[in-house]
Formats: sequence, structure tokens, C-alpha cells
Amino acid sequence: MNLIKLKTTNWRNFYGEHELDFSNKEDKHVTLIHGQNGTGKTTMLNAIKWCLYRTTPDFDKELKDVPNVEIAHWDTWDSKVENGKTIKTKPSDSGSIFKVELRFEHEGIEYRATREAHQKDMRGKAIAPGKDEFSLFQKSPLGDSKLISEPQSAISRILPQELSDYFLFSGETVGKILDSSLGDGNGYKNAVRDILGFTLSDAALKDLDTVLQKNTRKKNALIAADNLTKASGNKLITLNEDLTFIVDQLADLNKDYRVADKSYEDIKKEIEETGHEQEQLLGSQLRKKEKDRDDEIVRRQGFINEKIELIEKYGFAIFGAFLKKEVQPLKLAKFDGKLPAGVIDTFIEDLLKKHKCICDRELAAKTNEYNSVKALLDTANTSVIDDRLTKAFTATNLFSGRANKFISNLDRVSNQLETSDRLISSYSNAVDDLEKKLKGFGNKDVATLLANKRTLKNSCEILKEKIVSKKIILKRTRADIALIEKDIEKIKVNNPELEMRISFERVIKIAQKRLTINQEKYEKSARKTITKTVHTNMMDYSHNDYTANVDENFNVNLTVTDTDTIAAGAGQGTEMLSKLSFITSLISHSKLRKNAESSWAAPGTIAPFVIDAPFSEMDEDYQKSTLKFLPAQSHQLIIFLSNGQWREHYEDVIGDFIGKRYYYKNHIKPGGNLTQSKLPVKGIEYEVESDDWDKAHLGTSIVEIK
Amino acid sequence: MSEDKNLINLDELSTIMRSAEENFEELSAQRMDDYDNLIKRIILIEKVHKYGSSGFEKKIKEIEDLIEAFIKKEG
Repeated sequence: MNLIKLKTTNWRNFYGEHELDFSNKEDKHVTLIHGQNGTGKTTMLNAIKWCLYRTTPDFDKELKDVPNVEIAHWDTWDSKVENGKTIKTKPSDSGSIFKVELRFEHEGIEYRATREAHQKDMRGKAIAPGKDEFSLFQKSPLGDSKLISEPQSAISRILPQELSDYFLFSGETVGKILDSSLGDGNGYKNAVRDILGFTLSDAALKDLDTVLQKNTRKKNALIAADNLTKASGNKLITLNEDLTFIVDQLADLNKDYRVADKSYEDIKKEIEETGHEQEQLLGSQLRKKEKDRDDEIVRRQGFINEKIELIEKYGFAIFGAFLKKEVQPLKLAKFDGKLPAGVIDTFIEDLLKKHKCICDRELAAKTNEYNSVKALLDTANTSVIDDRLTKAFTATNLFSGRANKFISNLDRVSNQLETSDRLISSYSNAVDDLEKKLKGFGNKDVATLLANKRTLKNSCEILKEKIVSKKIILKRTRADIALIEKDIEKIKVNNPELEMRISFERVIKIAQKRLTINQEKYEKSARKTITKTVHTNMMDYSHNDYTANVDENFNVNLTVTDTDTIAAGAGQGTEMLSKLSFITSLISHSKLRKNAESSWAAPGTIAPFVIDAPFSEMDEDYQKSTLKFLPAQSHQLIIFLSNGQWREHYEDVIGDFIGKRYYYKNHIKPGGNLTQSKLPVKGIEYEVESDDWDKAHLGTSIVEIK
Repeated sequence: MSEDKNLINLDELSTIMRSAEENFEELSAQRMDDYDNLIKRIILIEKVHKYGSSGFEKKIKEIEDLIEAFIKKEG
């Protein structure tokens, strides 16, 4: 998508018709609009948003707030006194319409979008909302325009509204749109994935899942209908119902956890903001200990996950069904030196004496297991036992390499878990002490907040545990289903329809796996490239030596290069720089996918960057740096820049990229204050305000700098 | 004497290992290409439906038909 022209009619403080042509030249793709504060920079960004989506951040609900405010309050500027009464003069007819027209190009086709509304009541402040009309025209190769029947859907396909925030935004809100903690927690990551071109492959995975579920129901019904497989089929149907139920429960638990976690974080912030100096000091110590504890809890969870993974995948692959039966693996070391030739009986007796089988299972006296082993002494001949033990140890030798690695890894993780538990306990004690001290201040608010925080923390922990346990049940259920399905495969059923369903399932699963691997590979490489660009930008332009890293949720984390510690309080300007750098490198990366039709992923979302006031919180060096990398990393850039933040020497970095340039002229009412401020551009000083306020010059007008 | 369930059964272990191997088996280059082509065609269906207006059921049916054809071709 490339913007061509914006045309407004009676839009807020831009009375009458105004136009902005946007530059699309490859080497001069920047349009720079200079404006004084309060003269309508955000207003024009909002005009684009209102035209495309009918919403703007400032006035998304009430249409009455949208039109030219001076028209709405016309009585404040145009009236005359006759016979001692004030007579208001009705504005011209054109004032009854307000409209925004946007021309743009997408994938080689030109479009014209118009949204307009008519005022029903021109008198007084209470303007009736009225209805707006939205139209979208597509230009044909012959030059004539075709009206598109579902314009809003068409716009959504070109630049979905949920992604527009990443292309059309105010510098001041960049932190908000890059905050992954907002919303449901996945919205941000999903939006970034959409920009990177995952939309179609994500949809494909979802649809393959639907097809798979549909197929599984059919397959299970066929299995249950066949006499040979009836019992297994019924079990499968039940297990699949369980599976759906568990998946739903897991989704609910995850949702509850996100809500509880968000409340917990909010309350933590609230505590930070309360209290006096001493409380704040304790509060800061408390935060540090809580952070240490929470970090350790995360680490501990990592160890648990590692342990589960080791057992579920590695351990299961080696020991298979034995692990499922909770039989511990054979440890060769245990039996070293205990098996001299010809003393098998001694070995068996030893097992019985120690009440431990070779496989580590308990051999309690008089149990079936105990009697079975004992029976070996009485009934079996030595060669059978010898043969069986030889087989057992051959098996152990066969797997000893992997088994030992598995066991040593398991031991390592278990040790790490123990250390982690000790650390968590020590941090928790410190937290308890600090909380007691904080409560000692007698601040009721803090005490209540601390109590609420503790409750929420507990809720989070309980929910986390429930999620882990539910995930284990889910894995087990899946494993049970897989086992039954393997059993069914062994039964030769002469049913071509069933065979087709089984093949169907296999193909879908392989396709899903393959697609997921492709996605992971691409996501990883995208993250790597984006990290590299952000990192380079930070190294080149940041005041300090920061290393930037983009994590798996696409959050940008800055660390101090030498110490490798998190750059807490890096400064709002630095954070702003890193966030803008992230967005531009994200879009820049997405641009590479523009011609990716032959690939498995959708072409990345490409749209112009329209940034209002990009310099919020930045000093001059950062402003200059931003003007340097923004043009380099975008295919079309439209900047609304405050006159107060423009420096003539910025021309050196951005001047060559500017294809179109405008400034706003503010028409001051007679008697209003003229600030005498001017805009210096390439040695010329432009008048940015005048006191020629009349019907022809209301509010702000736009002047092109040639 | 019947097999004691408490003792290691090498055959059973071998079977489990074989099935574990199968699970980890990488697709051959040719098969990878076949599946990548199948995925591309599914993505194409997604694309057509994203920019078109036909319903969800129709899209699912198209994906099912595509997979059926893939299996038949596979033999």
C-alpha cells in the first residue's frame, strides 16, 4: 500500500478543502509536514484513520466531535448586532458537509476511499450525529472507476484495522502499541506475526485442525462400527471427548491466569506509587526480592518443563511402556560385580532379600511380584534365568549410552530444582520480612494492597500449577489415544473408508508438523534479522552501549553491553529510539516478503509509515538519528513534525529523501496573539501564522514548500 | 514357563524403539517437496478465500478434496 493523496473538507480546524500529496518516488519517498503544536498534525493523521476505519483515537464514538469545530461553533466567529440583538449568520452551504478522501495504491491498483457525513443541525453546539457514508472505488486500467460493493471488508484485506496502529501512529503512543502486556497478551504478538506474513499459514494450521477433528470423528465412528475394533473405537470416542474438554479447560485456565497476572502486576505498580521515603525504600527492596523470587520461579518452571520433556520424549523413547508403568530405568552400576558366573541363585536371593527387583520395582513380601521372582528359584532352570538376564543386560547395554545421558540429565535437572527451591524459599522469607516492615508503617492502603497482592500471587501460583497439571493430563490423554490407535492399526480391518481416514489423518499431521517447522524457522530468522537491525541502530545511535535483544514475544529488551544486565531506566528517549527502531525494522523485514508469492507464507503487510510527532521524549541527537534510520527502513514515510522540534541541520540527514514538503499556516482570529514564530527551511523563513482570519481563511491551511 | 511381565522383554523394547524411531523419522527430500507443494496449495486456498467472499464450509471442503487427491496420488 502506498498513499497518494489526502483531501479533506471541513475537517476539524481545516475549514474548506485541503489537500496533501504524498511522495511515492523510490529515492524520495518521504513527505514531511511541518506544523506548530495545536494546529492539526494529529488531526490529519486522524483524518486518514477516520476515512479508512471510521475510528480515531480521540473521537471514535461520537460523530458530532468529528467535523470542523469552528463550523460547529460558528456563532463564536460570525455574528452581527441588529436592534440590540445578536444575529448569527449561517455559514456557507459547504460547511454542512465534512468529508475525507484518500487515494492510495495497493498491489498495482489505485483506489479512492471517501467517507463523508452531513450535518443535520447547523445551529448551536449540539450537532446531531448524522450518518457517515463510506465508498471505495477501484481504478481500472482504462482509467474509469468501479465502486466496490463491500468497501470496509476490502479495506480490511488491504490493511486490517488491528495492524494499522503499527503503520499510522503517534510517536507518543508507540510505547502503548508495543506493550505486549496489554489486551489478552497475544494480540501484540499476533499483530507482529501478521505483519511478518503469518496470516495465511496460521489460518491454514487452524483449518487443518478443523479438518483433522472432523476426520477423527468420522474415523472413530467407523472403528466403533466394526466388530473387530468396536471396543477400541468406543474408547477412542470417549478419549477424544475428554481431549476436547481438557483443551477447553486449559484455555479457560490460561485466560484466568492472564487476568490474575495482569491484576497482580497492576497492584505491584500501585504499591510502588504509594508511601513516603522510608516506605519507598522498603518498597524498592521488596520489589527487588520479589523480582529475584519471581525470576527464580520462572527458572524453576523451566527446570520442571525440562524434566517433563526429558521424561516424555527422551526417557519414553528409551524405556517406552516401562516408563509409563512407572518402572525406573536399569542402572548398570547397581549390579556391577554382583553377577559372577554361576551364581544366578545368589543374585535372585539378593533381590528378594533387598525387596528390590532388577528394574528397581519394590518386591514386598508375599506380593505377586515377590512370588514371581521367588518362583524363578524353584521352577526355572539356571539357563533360562541366565538367558533372560543376558537379554535384560543386552537391552541395557543397547541403550546404556542414551540411558546414562538421560539419567545424568535427569539428575542435573533434579539438583537444579533443589537449588531453585532453596533460593525461592529464601527470597520468599525476605519478601515476608519486608512486607511485615511495610505493614508496620500503619498505612492502611499499603496493608490492603499488600494483602490483595498476596492473594493474587497465590491465585497465580495455583492457576500455574493447574495449567501444568492439565498439560500433563493432556499429554497423557494424547499418548493413550496414540496407543489405542497403534493397537487398531495392527488389526487388519478390510474397510477402505477407514483406511482412507487413517491416511487422511497421517497426511494432515505431517503437513501440520512441516508447516509449523517452517513457521518456527522463519520466525526465528525474522527475529534474528530484526534483533540485528535494532541492535545496530542502538549501537550506532544510542548514547550508551546497549545490546538490544528481541525475545520470543517480540519484546525489545535492552541490556548494558559490558555487564549484560537489564538496562532498567534507560531513559524514555532511548526506549523510544529502540521502539521506533523495532517497528521500522519489523516493517522493513516484512517488505522483503513483498514478492513472496511462491513461498508458504503470505506476502508481508506493507503500508506506509505515517508518524505524528516521532520525537516525543528525544533529545536532539536521538531526533537526528531517528530521521536517519526511518527513511532507510521504510518504503514510504509521512512525518508530521512539530516546528519546535525542527532544526535546520536535520536537512543534512533527511533532506535528500524528501519528495513532498508542506507547512501549516495558522490563521489567528483578529485580536489573537501572534507569536511571530517562523519555520526555517533551507535558508528561507516561512510565516506559519497570520491574522487574516475570515471565511476564506479559517483555522489552519496547508502550504506546499516547493 | 510364561514370560514374566516384570522382566525386560527385548522384543518389546525393540518394537518401542522402532516406533520411537519412526516418530522421529525425517521425511525424505522427495516427500518433503511433496508436502511443501501440498502446503502451498492449501495456502493458496486460504488466500483465495481471504480475498474472496465464499464461505468457511466451502474452504474446508476444498482443503479436504485436496488432501484426498494427495493421498490417491500417493497410492
